[in-house]
Amino acid sequence: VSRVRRTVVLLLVAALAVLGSSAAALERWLLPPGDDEVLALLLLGSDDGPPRDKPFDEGNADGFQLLFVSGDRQHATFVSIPRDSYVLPTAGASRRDKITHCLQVGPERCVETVASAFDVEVDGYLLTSMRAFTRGVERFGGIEIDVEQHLRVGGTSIAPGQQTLDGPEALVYGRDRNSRSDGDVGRSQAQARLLAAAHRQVHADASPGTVFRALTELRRHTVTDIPGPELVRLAFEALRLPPDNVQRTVLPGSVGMDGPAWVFFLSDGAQAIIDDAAADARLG
Amino acid sequence: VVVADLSGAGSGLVPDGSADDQPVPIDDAAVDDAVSAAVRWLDAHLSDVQAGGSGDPAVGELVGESRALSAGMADPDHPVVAATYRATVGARGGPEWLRMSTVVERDDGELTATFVFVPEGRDTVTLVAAQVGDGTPAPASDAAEEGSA
Repeated sequence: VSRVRRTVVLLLVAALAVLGSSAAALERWLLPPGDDEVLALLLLGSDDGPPRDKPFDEGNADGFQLLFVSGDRQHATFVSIPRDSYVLPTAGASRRDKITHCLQVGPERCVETVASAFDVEVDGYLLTSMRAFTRGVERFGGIEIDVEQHLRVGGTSIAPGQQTLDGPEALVYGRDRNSRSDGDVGRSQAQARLLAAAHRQVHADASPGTVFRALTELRRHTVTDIPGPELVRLAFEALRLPPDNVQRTVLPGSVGMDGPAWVFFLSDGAQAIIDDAAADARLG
Repeated sequence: VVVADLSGAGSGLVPDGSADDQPVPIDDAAVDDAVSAAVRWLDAHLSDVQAGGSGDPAVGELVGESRALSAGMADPDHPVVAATYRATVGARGGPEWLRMSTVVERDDGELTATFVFVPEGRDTVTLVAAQVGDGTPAPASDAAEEGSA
């Protein structure tokens, strides 16, 4: 019996030593997430704003990403929504429209459209423009990503391979649909891939300096309905999120015509994907 | 105290140099209040932990990992000789975050840390994150990179 007791005491001492050493080694602390609710963010990219004439918040939302983050901030899923997805823009609308057009009324309309079309209550939106995105990436220091194929818009082209994209190149990566065989669907997926890569980059060097550099450029180069201090909380909560736990998917459908307009008819499975991601920020 | 402008001036969201492309005037009084609140928090917290306490009573007891991190900076066996705070405040009009770069001088050496706060009302701040050691440079150099006001 005494040998058993001695063994138990030794195990307890060993356990306490391990606990003590891990506490002493602790270098970072993050405020725990406030609630257990899944967070739903709408990330929009406008096709307007300088150098074009129309204001950026009255253009088309050619970047349209729904990001779900689990309550414990351990999982996240990007749901990419093709710009031509044909949906009811508001609850009382009598006819469908391309989802990208919601931004012509303003980002709040896009939030309303997501609620109407997909029954998702958005917690906040972030909207940027092509020029602001370019400058934001430039000032952040570029985004490291593995480019799958040759891409080109205007005079800017990118070769395939692992590289750090500067601002103009990152814009081409998120914008080029003509070079991609799957057109806007591929472009939409690329936008999510770009955002996930930026998260991975910050996560890999999560010093306060890196987080604040990302946070500052995000704040400066977007408009949002998320209060500034709340955005700070979310930015630091993102450090809890393992990059490998970030999933991506695109809503399925097919291109067709409604009258003279080419549109993207979402398939029956689209709503199920959104419901799945909204439940726990995980797919499957 | 260094203030980093978080406004969209020069972002490209609106035409460069247009009326909408100007920095938002900084609310200096609100910034000062937030910095004072953060300094009070750090002073009280480090003093309490050094005395063997459980954290700042005014803020609420720190538990678990946060307690362990703070205890690494101040403890009764190694008294704090001095603590220096350098504040970088991100502001878009009012303050949105405070990055307190902290240097603690003890009888056995010097420790650096960064404490991140967000303002809650006018005279209160909430700790969002803290990191001890590497990666916590003094903010003055960072602020210069950020083009601070």
